[in-house]
Amino acid sequence: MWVQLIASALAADTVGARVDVYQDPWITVVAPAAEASVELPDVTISGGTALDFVSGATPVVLTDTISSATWFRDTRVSGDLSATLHPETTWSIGGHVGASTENDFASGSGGITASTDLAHRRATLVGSLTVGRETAWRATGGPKESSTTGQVDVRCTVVLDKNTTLTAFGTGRGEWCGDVLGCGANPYRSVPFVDGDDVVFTVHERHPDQRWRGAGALRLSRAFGDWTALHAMYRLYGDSWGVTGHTAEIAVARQLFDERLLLHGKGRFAWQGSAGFWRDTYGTSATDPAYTDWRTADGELSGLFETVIEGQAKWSFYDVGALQALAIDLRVAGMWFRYPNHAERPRRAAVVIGGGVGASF
Amino acid sequence: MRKALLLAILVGCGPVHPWERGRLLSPVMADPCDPLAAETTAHILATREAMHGASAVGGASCGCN
Repeated sequence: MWVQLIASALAADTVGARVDVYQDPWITVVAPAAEASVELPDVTISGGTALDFVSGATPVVLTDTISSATWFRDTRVSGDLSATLHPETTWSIGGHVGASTENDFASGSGGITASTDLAHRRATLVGSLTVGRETAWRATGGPKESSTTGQVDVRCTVVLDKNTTLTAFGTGRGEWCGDVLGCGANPYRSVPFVDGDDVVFTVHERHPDQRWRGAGALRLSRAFGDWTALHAMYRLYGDSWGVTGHTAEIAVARQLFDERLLLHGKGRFAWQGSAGFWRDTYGTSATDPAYTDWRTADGELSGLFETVIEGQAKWSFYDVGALQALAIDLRVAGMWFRYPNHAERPRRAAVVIGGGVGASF
Repeated sequence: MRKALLLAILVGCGPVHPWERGRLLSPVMADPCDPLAAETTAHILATREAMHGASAVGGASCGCN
């Protein structure tokens, strides 16, 4: 029986691995990742792992003040595993687990996913529920905070015609955190209270201990002939901290040389409003509500304009020995972040260069 | 009439038979075209922005510290 299972699995296995390098003026991240998927009768098992080797300069006490930066290195290890049961071709149900750890952060999550075809396979509805637990602490000792998360994702893809699909995405997420730092606060980061240009004292970040998020998106994909497709997406985001955001993406894909070369280009443009309690500077008054209430030095909670331009080229070789296909790819991405009301670091630019290999048996 | 219109929006404007779906299965119609690379990009962006969710990229844990 196991021989039969393995033999059938070899008919549709896939494996892939890649390495990406992220570089901005302060941080370098080398990120290898791998994944594999095995098709067994009525069951698909998939797993993956990713590592981040991070090095760079980060502030220890004050907010993103480069002059006070401290050199650091860190390694993140993450992995996930999923199993999907599809006894019929029209529906499936599965479970997934994941975990991530580094020297000052750990998380774990698990959930279920179900999928069904609707309206004579003109639409596919996918829903998933994921719960997780995260803990962040300061490796050198100090504050520590845990949070519990629950997330519901819904996705529905509708086939409009033989060239066009429309997909709607929806996400609802709740985060419940302790009262030491609150949700998402960095245990290394403190907020300076200033009098003019002078820092009078610093205290730890303190975020609210609950956060509710919601996001919805629509994506339209259309083929133009057999070898070209255009994708357009818009996403609306809002949360209970007052952050709102709009994201637009447009992507084009083109196959050349008898489907051996796949070129893919994407542009991503996002605007995000700041959290209601975010301020560029906090005053020194003891009655200042920022001192007794919520305070943050997280530039990512401020306003943001973001542009990402990405290009990828993938070359496929077919029928290579025992392989159905072998593909190698190279991608380059430029990222520009502008935080218009974050005086200390109003801009950040980054480049991502990576490559990978994938095979199907 | 309203129900018919709603149904048409939900299920598309007309039947698309299985043998007419070749283009929909083409690699150019996959977005993201490379899920592994897309997960890396999503992880990077999760540490640069406060927005989250309604993404085409899956994943069990982002570890976005």
